[in-house]
Amino acid sequence: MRGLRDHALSTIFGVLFLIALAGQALTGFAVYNEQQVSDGLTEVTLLSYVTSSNFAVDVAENWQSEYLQFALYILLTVWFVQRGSTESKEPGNEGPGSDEDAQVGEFARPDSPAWARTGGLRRTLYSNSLVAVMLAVFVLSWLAQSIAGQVSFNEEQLASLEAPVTWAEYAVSPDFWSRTLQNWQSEFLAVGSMAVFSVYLRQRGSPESKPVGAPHEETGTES
Amino acid sequence: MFHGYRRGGSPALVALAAVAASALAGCSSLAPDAPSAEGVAVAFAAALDAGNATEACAMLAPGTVEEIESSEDTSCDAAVLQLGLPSGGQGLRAEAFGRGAIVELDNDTLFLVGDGDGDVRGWRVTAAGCEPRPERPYDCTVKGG
Repeated sequence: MRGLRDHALSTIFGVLFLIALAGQALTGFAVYNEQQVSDGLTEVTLLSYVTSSNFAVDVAENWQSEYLQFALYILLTVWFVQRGSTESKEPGNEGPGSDEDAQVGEFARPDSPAWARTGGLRRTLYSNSLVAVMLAVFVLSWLAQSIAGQVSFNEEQLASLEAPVTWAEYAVSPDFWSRTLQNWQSEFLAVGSMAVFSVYLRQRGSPESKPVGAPHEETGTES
Repeated sequence: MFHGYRRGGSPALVALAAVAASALAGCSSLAPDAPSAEGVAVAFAAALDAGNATEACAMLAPGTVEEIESSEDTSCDAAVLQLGLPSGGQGLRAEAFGRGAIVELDNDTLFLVGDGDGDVRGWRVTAAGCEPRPERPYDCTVKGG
């Protein structure tokens, strides 16, 4: 029970993710089969739908934008500050910080991860591992979006008696960039507004908020 | 919410996401059966060349049959040989994406739609007698509604 409680946040988000993904699959499946029936064609199975390009492109385009958002936020907050924001370091502390701040090398604690205590490539890698993994998932998801998107786009092209395009043509097409940018703009807005809202607004009990009574000017404090 | 990651995300979840993204890309890139679409297109053209209207109509998509019967005001069997569709010939190139396919024959270009699922999946001709036009859809003698 204690194990579950210690991991309650990741568990609940994992469950919410699965419920939402299942809902997306079922509703998308219904829409797809409605089209099949209206075209006088046989309905497809759920398995066939969830392995189709139509489903894949819709999933991947949202994933890539979320991981880009997180990766950018982690990276940009190294060098850019927002006075008063819980998401920011104090103005003047921009940059990767000293080894002492980072608790690496000779400043590592006895219980620090092994790669923080060593030097060289391993420490450099571990010091940037969070952004590296987030960026890797972003790139993979974006690649998946482009591949599935090309198939989905070409399916529509063929249905309207137009010639299919190659992957390279699709990667510079308005369809690909429209799908991409409509997600990016909403993520950038959400992150930017969160950084500013956290200066002035509070949520009692949330570690993402300052204490309710903390002054607006106080930067980087979370309750 | 993005803040949780700053305190160390879940590597397992991230890894799962990466694997799933790759899997999705892999699945979707698996081209459906273009050779069988080409086979249907060749067989459709051969049926027309042989004067076998019933066989040709059986290979048309339902919407295309309706369109022919509506525009010609008679049955597909009676109309399909009179539409002036070109003699098809051998398959030159076939591409399939999702449930759509395009097949180029020696003398014609055809569009097909995948019908059914799994083992019973088959291709039906949606448009035939198609000529490419720059920046516009193909101009087809026969097409679905």
